[in-house]
Amino acid sequence: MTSGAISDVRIPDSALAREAAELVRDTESDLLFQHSTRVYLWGALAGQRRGVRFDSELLYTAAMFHDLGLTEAFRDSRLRFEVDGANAARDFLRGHGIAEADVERVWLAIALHTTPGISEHLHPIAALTAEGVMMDLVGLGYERFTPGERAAVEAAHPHPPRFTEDLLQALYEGLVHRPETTQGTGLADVIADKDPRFQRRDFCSLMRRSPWAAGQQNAP
Amino acid sequence: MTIQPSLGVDIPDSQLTREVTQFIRDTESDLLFHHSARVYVWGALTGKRLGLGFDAELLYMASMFHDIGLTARYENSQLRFEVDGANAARDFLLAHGVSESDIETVWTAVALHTTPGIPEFMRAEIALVQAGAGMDVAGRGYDQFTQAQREAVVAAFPREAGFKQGILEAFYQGMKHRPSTFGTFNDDVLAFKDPHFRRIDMCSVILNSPWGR
Repeated sequence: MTSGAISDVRIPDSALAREAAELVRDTESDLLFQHSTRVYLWGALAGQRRGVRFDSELLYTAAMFHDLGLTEAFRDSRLRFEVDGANAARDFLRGHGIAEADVERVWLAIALHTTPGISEHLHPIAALTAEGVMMDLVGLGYERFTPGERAAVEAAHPHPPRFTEDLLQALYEGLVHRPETTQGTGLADVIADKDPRFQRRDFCSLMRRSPWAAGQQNAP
Repeated sequence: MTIQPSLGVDIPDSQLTREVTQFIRDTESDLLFHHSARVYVWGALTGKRLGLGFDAELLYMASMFHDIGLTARYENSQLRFEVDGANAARDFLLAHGVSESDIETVWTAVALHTTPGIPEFMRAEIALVQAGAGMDVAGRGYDQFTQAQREAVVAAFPREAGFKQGILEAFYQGMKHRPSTFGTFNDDVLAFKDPHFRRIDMCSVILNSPWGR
C-alpha cells in the first residue's frame, strides 16, 4: 500500500486488513479496488474531521468489500449486489474471529451503502462508508475535504481518466442479470441508462394493479 | 380491538401496546391507523407461516409507528419520513424503559420498511414489518394468505373504499416538502401527484459531479 499518511489517516496495517486487501485486489478490477481504497480514505478523513470514534479495520473491511457483489463470482446471484458484498464481508470477518456485533455493523454498512438517508443515522461504520462512497462517486461533501486532502488521496489512488463511464459500466455488468433487484433504488437509473428497453417499476401502478381492489375488500 | 380468534394472531395486550395504540390513533388518520394495524397482522401471520421466532410486542410497536412520519407533525422535517417514524418510536420506547437493543430493532424496522431486498436478511421483526407493509400497500405476497385470513383482517381493520388513492395522497402530503426522495420508490409518488416533479437521475448526478473525470 503506497498511500502513506494522509493527515493522520492510514490504511490499517494489520493481518486482517492485508488479507482483505489481497482478497479484494485478486477479485476486483483495479478500477473497483482503487475506488474502494479511496472510499476508505474519504470515510476515515470525514470521521476524523468530525471527531467520530470508529474502528479503522472495520471501516476498511466495509470499504474493501462494498462493491464485491459486482464481480464475476456473483453472476448467478439474484440478491441485491449490496447484500452479496455484505455476506462476503461477513464470511470473511467470521473467519477471522471478529465479534458478531461488529460483523453485523459491517454487514449493514455494505448492505445500505446505496440507500439514501439512512446510513448517517446508524453507527459510524455505516455512516462513514456511505459518505466515502458518495464522495468518491458523485463528489458529495467535496468542499468539506481540504484541497490538500483531495490532492493527497488523488496522488496515492487517482481517479482514472474514464472513471465515471467505466464505473457505470462495472455497475451495469454486475447488475444486468438481475435488473429486478434495482427497482426502487438509485441503481435502476444505471440499467435504464444502458438499456433503453428497461422498464422501471412504478410504485403507484404497482399499487393500483395490486390484487387489493379498493372498496371490495371490506368486511365480507 | 379484537380479531377473530380463528386467525391465531392477536394484538399483544400490555400497558405498552395499549399506550402506543392510543397514541397512534390520536395522531394518525383512521386510514393510516388501520393500515398500520393490518401491517402488524400481515407481518405476524407471515412470521407464523414461515416459523420465524419474533417478538410480537416489538413487531406491533414498529408497525404502529411505521408511517407516523407522514403526519402533519413532521411537515417541516428534512429527513426521510421513515427516519422520522423510527426516531418517534425510539423516543416513545426510551420513555417507557425499553432496552437499547430492542429499540434498535424497532428503529431499524421502521427506517427500512420501504427499502427493497435487505430487511428479509435481518432480524425477524425488521423483515416482517416490510413484508406486512408490502402486502397491505401493494399486495406483495397476497396469494400466500388464505381468503379467510384476508377477510378476517379486513373485517377487524377496514380497508376503506378509496384506500389506494387515500394512501397515495397521504404519502404525497407527508413527503412533498422534503428535500429528496431520490433513489427510493417514494419518487414515484411525487412523480404521480405532481406533473412538474423531476426525478433526479443517478447517472446524471455521477456525470455532473465536481470530479473532473
